[in-house]
Parts: sequence; structure tokens; C-alpha cells
Amino acid sequence: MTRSASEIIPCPTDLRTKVRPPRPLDPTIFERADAEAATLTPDYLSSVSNSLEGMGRNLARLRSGGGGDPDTLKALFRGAHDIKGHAGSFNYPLLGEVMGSLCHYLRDRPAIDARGVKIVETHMRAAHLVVSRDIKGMGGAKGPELLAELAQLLGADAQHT
Amino acid sequence: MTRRPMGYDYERLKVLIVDDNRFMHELLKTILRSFGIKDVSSCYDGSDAITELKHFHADIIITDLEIQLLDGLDFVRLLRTADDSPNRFVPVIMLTGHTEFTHVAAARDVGITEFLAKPVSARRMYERLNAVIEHPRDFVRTTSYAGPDRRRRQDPSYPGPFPRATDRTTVQ
Repeated sequence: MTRSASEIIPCPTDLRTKVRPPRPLDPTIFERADAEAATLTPDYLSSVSNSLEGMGRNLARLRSGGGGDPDTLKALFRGAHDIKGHAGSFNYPLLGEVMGSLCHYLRDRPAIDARGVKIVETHMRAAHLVVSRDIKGMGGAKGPELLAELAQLLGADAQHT
Repeated sequence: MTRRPMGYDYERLKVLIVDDNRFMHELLKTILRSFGIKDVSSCYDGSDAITELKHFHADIIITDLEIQLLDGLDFVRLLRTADDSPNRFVPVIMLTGHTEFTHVAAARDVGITEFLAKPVSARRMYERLNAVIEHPRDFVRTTSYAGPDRRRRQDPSYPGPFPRATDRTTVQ
């Protein structure tokens, strides 16, 4: 019995032939890899600063244009999304959460009003704070407080709209 | 007594990274090299990646979902279905910060092999590489899908013949 509209090709790529037989995993492999990755942190922080500068220029455009430019909003979303994606890998999860909150706010939004511009500004200020003070991890007790404030801001906006 | 996890020697693997963020290239290369993978190439979008694959015979592709120009989904779709695809069967690990169900389902339905949510860590990358190596899957090609078999488990007790109602209409 065959299927006329489908074809099944049995395991065309079996990479087990390209790796040597398994052996007990070196328990230090992840620590070493993460330590290697951590050497990129200064470079990462400098790239975040550049991204935040670019986002700042987009924010200024939004302010002057009344918040109605979808391309600028998309660029802002993209900047926040990029920072969010990498922050956790460099032990800046709080920064990732702040940018995640901004992504949540900007996602699929074609325009924002003056209140929206304030929301973006607040997130940007929070991100600058995390970077300038080099706040690693979740920022102790202050980190969750900061995130709660951002959530409250978004909640208030949702109620208003 | 817990069993010690097993590891592989990845030295002979060739990996292609597709991401529009230079920083991600650096991070992934650093992690992959620390696993012993020496042959790593990288591209900034799906279109470049298709060209690169014509001479770089990647064993595994790691691609971001949201990249400019030809994005990750379109890239994988093209890779799996184009008549002149340079490597339609290559395992693809899709890397993304978009972990909503719709994105995961879309990635699955264009034929990715594994999904890895950002942020990337060495351990999680290793687990995905191992998943690709330890669980090779059949490749399925239908009128609406081309990619690794989306069923992760086979149920030997299933009475069959086919699991989907629509399958029965195509039996000859």
C-alpha cells in the first residue's frame, strides 16, 4: 500500500556516523563554554549601548512625528527584541525582561499616542539604568520592583485604551 | 545511582549559522568551538545562506527565525522544497526569542528539526545538537509539507493504516 501524494525518505541524514561513539560527558564542558562566551560581555555591552542609541533616535522621531510611523515602531520593536534575545546569555536577564516588556507593548502596534511615547521612554530609561549600573542577574530586590512598575504602566495603558 | 550523561566528539561536524546579528555569530561560534566544532560558517540572511550552502556542506544549520530579507521561515521552506535546493535534508535548529505557540508551530510546519529559545546557553545548545544526532528522523515530503517527520514518537499499537483522516483519501 502506498500513498500517492507523499514520500518518506528513511533518515537521510544520520550524523552518528560523523561523531565518535559516545563517551561520558566532560562535566566541565558547559562551564568552559560559558566562560568563553563571557569573554564577549564587554563587546556585548557596547553593542547594547549602540542599539539603545539607535532606539533613542527612533524614539525622537516618534516624538516629533506624533507616534504614528509604523516603520519607526517596527524598528524600535526590533531593537528591543534583539537586546532581549541576547541579554540572558550574558547574565543580564533583568535587561532582557525590560526589553521583553517593551516588545510586549510594541508588538503589532501600528501607532502610539503621547502616553505610548512615555511608555517607550520609561522602558528605555530602565534599560539605560541596567546597562550604566551594570546590573547583572535580576538586580536583587530592586529588579522585580522595576518590572512591577513597568507592568503597572502597561496595565494602566491597557485600561485606558 | 544516576547515569553520567554521554558526550560526542563533534570535531568533524560542519555548522552554518544564519542570523542578522553580528553578535549572535560571535556568541554561537564561541560556544560551538568550545564543543570542538572547528568548521563554522555564518551568513546574515537566508538568501546568502542558500548561496553559501552550494559550496559549504553543512551538517547542521542554526538559523534565527526573524532575520531581514529572506527570514528564517522562508529560508527553511526554500531549503526544504526548492528544486535546486543545495541541501534539502540538512537538520535545522531554529533559534528565536519568539516562543509563542504560533511561532513554534510555524517553524515546525516549514520543516525545522529542533527549536531553541533564546537566551542561548552552552548546555541547551549542546542538548539540541545531541538531539539532532541521537534522533535522526525520516524525511517526509507531501504536497503541503517537506521536512523531518513531525511525529516524535511512533506508537506500535496504533491500528492504522494512517493517522490522519486526510491520509486515507490518498491511499491507492
